[in-house]
Amino acid sequence: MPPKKINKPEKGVYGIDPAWGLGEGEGSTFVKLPFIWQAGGDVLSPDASTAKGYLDSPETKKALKFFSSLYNEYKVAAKELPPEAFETGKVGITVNGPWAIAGIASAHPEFKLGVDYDIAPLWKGEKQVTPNGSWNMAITKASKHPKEAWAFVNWVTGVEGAKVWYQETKNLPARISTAKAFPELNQYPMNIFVEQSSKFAKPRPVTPAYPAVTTAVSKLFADLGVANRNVDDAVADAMGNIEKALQKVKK
Amino acid sequence: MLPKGRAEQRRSLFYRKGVIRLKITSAYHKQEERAAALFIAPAIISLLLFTFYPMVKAFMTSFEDYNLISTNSSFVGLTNYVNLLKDPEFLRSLLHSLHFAVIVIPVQTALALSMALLVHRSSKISGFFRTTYFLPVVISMGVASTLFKLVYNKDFGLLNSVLKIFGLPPVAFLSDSHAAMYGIMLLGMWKAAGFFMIVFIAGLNNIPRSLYEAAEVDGATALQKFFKITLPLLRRTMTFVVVITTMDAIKISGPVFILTGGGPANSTTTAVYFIYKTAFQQMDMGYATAAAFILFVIVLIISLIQLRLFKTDVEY
Repeated sequence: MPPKKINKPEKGVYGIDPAWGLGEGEGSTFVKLPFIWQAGGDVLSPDASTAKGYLDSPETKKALKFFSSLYNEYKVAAKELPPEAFETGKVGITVNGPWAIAGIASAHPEFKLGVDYDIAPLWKGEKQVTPNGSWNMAITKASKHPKEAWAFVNWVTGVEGAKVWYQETKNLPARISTAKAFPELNQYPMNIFVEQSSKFAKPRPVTPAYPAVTTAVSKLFADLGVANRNVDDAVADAMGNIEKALQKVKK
Repeated sequence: MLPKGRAEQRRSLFYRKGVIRLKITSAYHKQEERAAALFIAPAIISLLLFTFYPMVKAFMTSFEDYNLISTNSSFVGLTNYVNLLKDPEFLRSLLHSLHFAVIVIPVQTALALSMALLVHRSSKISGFFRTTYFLPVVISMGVASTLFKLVYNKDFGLLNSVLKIFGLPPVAFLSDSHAAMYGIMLLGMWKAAGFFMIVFIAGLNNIPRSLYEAAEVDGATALQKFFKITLPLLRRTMTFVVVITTMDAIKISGPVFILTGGGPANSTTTAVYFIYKTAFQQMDMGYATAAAFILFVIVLIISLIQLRLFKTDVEY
């Protein structure tokens, strides 16, 4: 296992930061979900009505056990890292998105892409999956200008609008045609992100109960990584919270 | 003897004078009252608008199933309260707050009193120490928490580097779920002790010197003076310090936000942090306000008990 080879905890160097540490927050959930998906598991049923049979499936539990083992068995991941651990050489492998490249370049010009670090696609388990979640657009029921809002959404998700959206936000485009229109998206390193997003991306569960789902998921991973809790117990707790929230939105 | 007519005239004049005086004073009083009302109006209005109205509104919300992302809410009676009392996460968050309070109240109060005893006599050097001890109070909680996050880091933080020099094992205040709460306590006490030290200094300076002189004449030791004079006469100050510390402690949330985010594995999720998460991350306002009222009642009861316990008739 590569993280094991470079792991030197006694020198303050850890093998891997598998998914943005063990803290809370949406970013944390976003990068942790692929562990479950790659193993063939899931959080909710496809119609997002229940977690039963998905979050407690053997595939999900296998993924969670693997995640926990990185911290507690193999000890290749640190339960806490200083800020900018990857850029300052304190962690060997990190998982991040395309947005991180510019940040690293401006805060640590001495740490060069192609010289000091390189980018590879996310690893593959039973399935190859990357998280998907750019900006989502919606028109609320209470909108006073639903037609105008629709005109904007229609334009910005169309061929031309998506180009402007990419230029202004630098968020990966949702259209392959837009991605093809920009040379930088077809070269290393951005081509890796474009290819992965277009072939293997999976969106997060779509439900009004999502705020409760994400809290439960990041807590579940923390329970396993930090506290080394029993997987069955931790999953049962998370299931309870998610089911409760799903019941509430069903009403 | 004056003729009857004159006497009556006089009396009536006298009365009239009295009436006039009465009239003047009542007009004066009215004016005073009006001025007073004007002066307290801004405070009353802002209290009504920003404290009582939100409280009443929150109390009403606590009986509703009201989610911020939904446009409608419905009355659910005591459901939120009943569910909260069965919710292990809420109960655990209350326990975390109480754990914080039970340790911080005595330790921080003792610390503040000791510092006050060390520096309450004015001299050049005590001025320096007073300022130093008070400095953390001035620093914003956000800055302090961010700094402590760096200091506490397990592998690279200052704290563990110092511990290592003395051959002590490292402490993982940020990633060990059993130690994290103590990290929050340490920051909380470091931050607040200086303020209560100042309060104690004021209390100490109020105790008449003559009492100590009399005790010295009687041959009292320093310890006897502390336990027989200082401590009993500090009772009022102590009441203030303990009640305020208790309220602050049970409502602790500031350092939790920045230092640990309620983690690791929810071990530092205090009641207020639970309320915040429920209200503003899960958008469940009904449930969150109900939790806030349960916490309010708990703080109220504890404060009332403390006020009763610390009641004193000692005057000096």
